[in-house]
Parts: sequence; structure tokens; C-alpha cells
Amino acid sequence: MPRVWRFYPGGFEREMTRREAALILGVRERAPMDKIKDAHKRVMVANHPDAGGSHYIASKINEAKDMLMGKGNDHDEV
Amino acid sequence: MAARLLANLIVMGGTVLGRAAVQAYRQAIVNANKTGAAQEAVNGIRRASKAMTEQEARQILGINEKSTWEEIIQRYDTMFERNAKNGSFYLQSKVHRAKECLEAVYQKPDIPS
Repeated sequence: MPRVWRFYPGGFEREMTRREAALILGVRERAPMDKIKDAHKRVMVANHPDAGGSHYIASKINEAKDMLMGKGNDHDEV
Repeated sequence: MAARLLANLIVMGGTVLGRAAVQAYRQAIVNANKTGAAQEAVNGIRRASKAMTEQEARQILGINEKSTWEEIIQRYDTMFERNAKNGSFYLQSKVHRAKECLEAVYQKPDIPS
């Protein structure tokens, strides 16, 4: 699918936000657990250090998953 | 009579103070522009949130200072392609921006020594 809009500018946020985490995995911020897990697996395979990816990106992907799984589905948490 | 005098004094006093404050404010702006302090502050805020650093660009592509441009392009091609297929557009963007950043570093003409 051809992209007609511009690439996101700049580097990663200094501190990861839920919004950035969702963008990294290509999911919605409130995505259910199973979608997050699937997205994480898919994106990690694409960026695995053993397959030409970088450790930096891999750690961002893991951080993104942790962030979305940590608070996303627990709506009772204030 | 006294009340009117007092009222006049207060109004005049207020005007003088007001004018002084406005002038001081204007002078402060002029001073800031002269030293470039205001401009630097704005730039600092803008840069911190937007621009990619060379260091981060190298981390994103998984290369070090000794890497050649060919190596960078090779890694860029792989990562860009894989993210286009199975990654996110966001990650694809970061890979692209990293290469863009290093392009400026590597394509810079050498300063003659």
C-alpha cells in the first residue's frame, strides 16, 4: 500500500508515551491484549537484531509492549 | 478640593508607572534579541523535541562511528524494507529519518586541512 503522507519527523520521544508505544506497534492505544501481543511479535520479527535489526529498535518495541500491556486494559486504575 | 488634588496625583502617578513598565518591557525584549537569548531558548525547545541527533541515528541503524556509508545504506535498505512489510509506519519513519540525518554527516564535503 503506497504511503502518500510524510514520514514522522524527528527521533523517538525522550520518554516513551502510550501514544508513541501504540505507533511503534501499529495498534490503537486501547487495543486488547491479544492484538498487542500479535503486533509485538510481528514487529519484533521484522526488527530482530539477528535479522539485520538494531538492539535500540528492539528495546523500543519491547518497551512499547510493556507500556501498552501494563496500563491499557486495567480501567480501574486511576 | 483636596480630594480632587489627590485624584489627579493618583492618576498621574499611575500613568507614569504604567509608561515606565511598558518601556522596561520593551527594553527587555530588545536586550533579549540582542544577546540572542530568546532565540536560543526557542531553538532549544524546538530542537529537543523534534530533531534527531547523530548519536540516535547511529543507534537506530545499529552502526558505529567507524561504519562506512555503504554499510549504512545496506542496513537502511534492510530495515526500511522489513518495516514496510511487517513493521509499523512509525518505525519505518525513524529508520528513514536516521538515514537522512547521517546523510548530512557523511555527504558533507571534507574541510581541507
